[in-house]
Amino acid sequence: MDTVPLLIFQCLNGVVWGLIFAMIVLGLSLTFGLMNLMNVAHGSFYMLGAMLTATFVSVHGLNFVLSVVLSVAIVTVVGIIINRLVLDRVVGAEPLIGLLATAGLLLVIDSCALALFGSASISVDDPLSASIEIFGTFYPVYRLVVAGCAIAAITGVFCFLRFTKQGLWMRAVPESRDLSLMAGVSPKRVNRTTIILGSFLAALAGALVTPIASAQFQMGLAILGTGFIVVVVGGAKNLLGTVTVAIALGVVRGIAATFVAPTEAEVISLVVLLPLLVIWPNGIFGGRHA
Amino acid sequence: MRRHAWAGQLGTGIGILMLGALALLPALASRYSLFVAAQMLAFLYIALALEISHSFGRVLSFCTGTFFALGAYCAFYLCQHVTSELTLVLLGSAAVCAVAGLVTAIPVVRMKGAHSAVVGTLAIGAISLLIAGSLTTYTGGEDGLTLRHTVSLFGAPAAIGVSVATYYLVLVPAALYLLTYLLLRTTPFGTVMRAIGENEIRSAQLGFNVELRRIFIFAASTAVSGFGGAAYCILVGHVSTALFDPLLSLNAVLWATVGGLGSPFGALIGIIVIYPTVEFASGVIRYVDALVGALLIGTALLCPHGVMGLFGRLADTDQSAADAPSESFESRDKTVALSPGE
Repeated sequence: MDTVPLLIFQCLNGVVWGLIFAMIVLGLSLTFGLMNLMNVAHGSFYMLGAMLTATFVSVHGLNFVLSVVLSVAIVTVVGIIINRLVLDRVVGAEPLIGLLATAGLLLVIDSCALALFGSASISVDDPLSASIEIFGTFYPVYRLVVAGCAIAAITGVFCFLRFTKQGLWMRAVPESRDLSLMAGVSPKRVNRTTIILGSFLAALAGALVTPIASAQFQMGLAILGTGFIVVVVGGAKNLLGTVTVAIALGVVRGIAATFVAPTEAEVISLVVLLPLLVIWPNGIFGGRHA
Repeated sequence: MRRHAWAGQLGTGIGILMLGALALLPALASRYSLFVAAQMLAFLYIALALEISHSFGRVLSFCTGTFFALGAYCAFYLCQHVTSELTLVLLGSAAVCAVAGLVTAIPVVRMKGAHSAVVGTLAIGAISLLIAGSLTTYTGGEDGLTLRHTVSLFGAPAAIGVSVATYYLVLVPAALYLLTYLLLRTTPFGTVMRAIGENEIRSAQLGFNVELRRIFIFAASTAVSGFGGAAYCILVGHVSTALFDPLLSLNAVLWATVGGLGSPFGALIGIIVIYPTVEFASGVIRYVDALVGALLIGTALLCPHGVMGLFGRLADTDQSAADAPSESFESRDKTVALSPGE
């Protein structure tokens, strides 16, 4: 392929990956910013969504859309159970304790996934198998559908936070936990909603990604470092900043992948982000002062 | 109030006893037990490195495993191309890791946002894993590289692998570090280092160059981790990119936390409790990482300050932790921060 069409293809890929990644990190940003919890196990929700969808489609022969719905529902329930058993007890404690507990969850969930699904990658066929010509480049329609779903999910979360009473509570509790409690808002209920939203988004991202990249039990761990760096660079409490940085990261990675190997492109995109942690400790939308 | 002053020192006392037991192990244990203990001692250095960077440098580093792996590869290449003297290999690897750690520390220490330093070290770990995976010509990929080379120890012929000589080569520096910590902790130097670790603002007010010291502390912790990696390479004779796995750094967090962060003896107790348990369990349970995870969750929920924290509570039975008089420099209104500036 010539450089220009390849560049267009990779840029489009970058935007799609950025939007998928934005769905994952949005949940991470919610738990990080609203619950002040570094949820290391968040990537496992993404992995579970992908593994369940891939298993339903490839092993059990279920319809792709039904598999996505089922997977997202199961992972969301898993999120609620995990919140009830573990996360609820570490929110508000020293950050290290939350980190320890979620690191433990990561290992437990990934080991369970290994035991249930095995270590081999599971791939899923493109459910649409069609391409569309964009600027002289043929691009898979499914990826555009995924981009559309991601935009809809992200917009939905923003609207939920901005226009609903639950969303108002979610924004209020981190500002003043005691005051919210006095006003009759239950922080536990808010935490549960945050985890539901986070696990839903991560599972949806995982489920939608299976026809693009095969599912594997360690895929959650692979996105962890990048996920956290995007959340911090975007601003821990700035959801729009997080989404913007995630999409920008996808585009940088896409452009870099035109000229170097994909692994090298990933390294470049991470190295580009690292100095931003020093320059803008509160994120690029949060000012220079910590 | 009834204080059991002896209980406050119980953790340290048990740690010293454990060191004594480890010193006697070659005379008592089987070859397999010695092999497990030697590997455990190599991994102890990662837990000690984490303890140093957290307690004195205020950075909960998630890239200690990266420097362990770097140290292992340095030892491999030093053995192959530079020297066959094991002591020089260990020191050379630690020095290379210290330089790499110094370069890493400059941005990490300056990451002042909430959790930024933790995230920074996570990212460094992720980048290292990607780089190591792509440089298979030099790293050997997941299959790794096997060290087959004639080596010497203090000029006498030695062999790669676990032997009584290599066991003590790994144990003695760790024991020396732990004992030096005991001797130095009440000296002015030790007091300043603890002060920086506990409250950097007050330390800066007192005129200490906090940032510079934290940079050197982080570099020192990477040197310790690299030393452990080099020791691992000498003991096992094989290195692979699996050493760059972030799970190794997570394990270091588990070992140090189960023992109790705040004292290097906590790291020693933690690894002695956890490592043989997991090693034994791996022969029985197929998915041993699930056990490690359960232990992490259990520690976080039931015993967040680890074994040393339990001894600390025992030392002050009739008073709650919040009211207890403390020698800590840390202000009461702030919990231990994961990164500076929180």
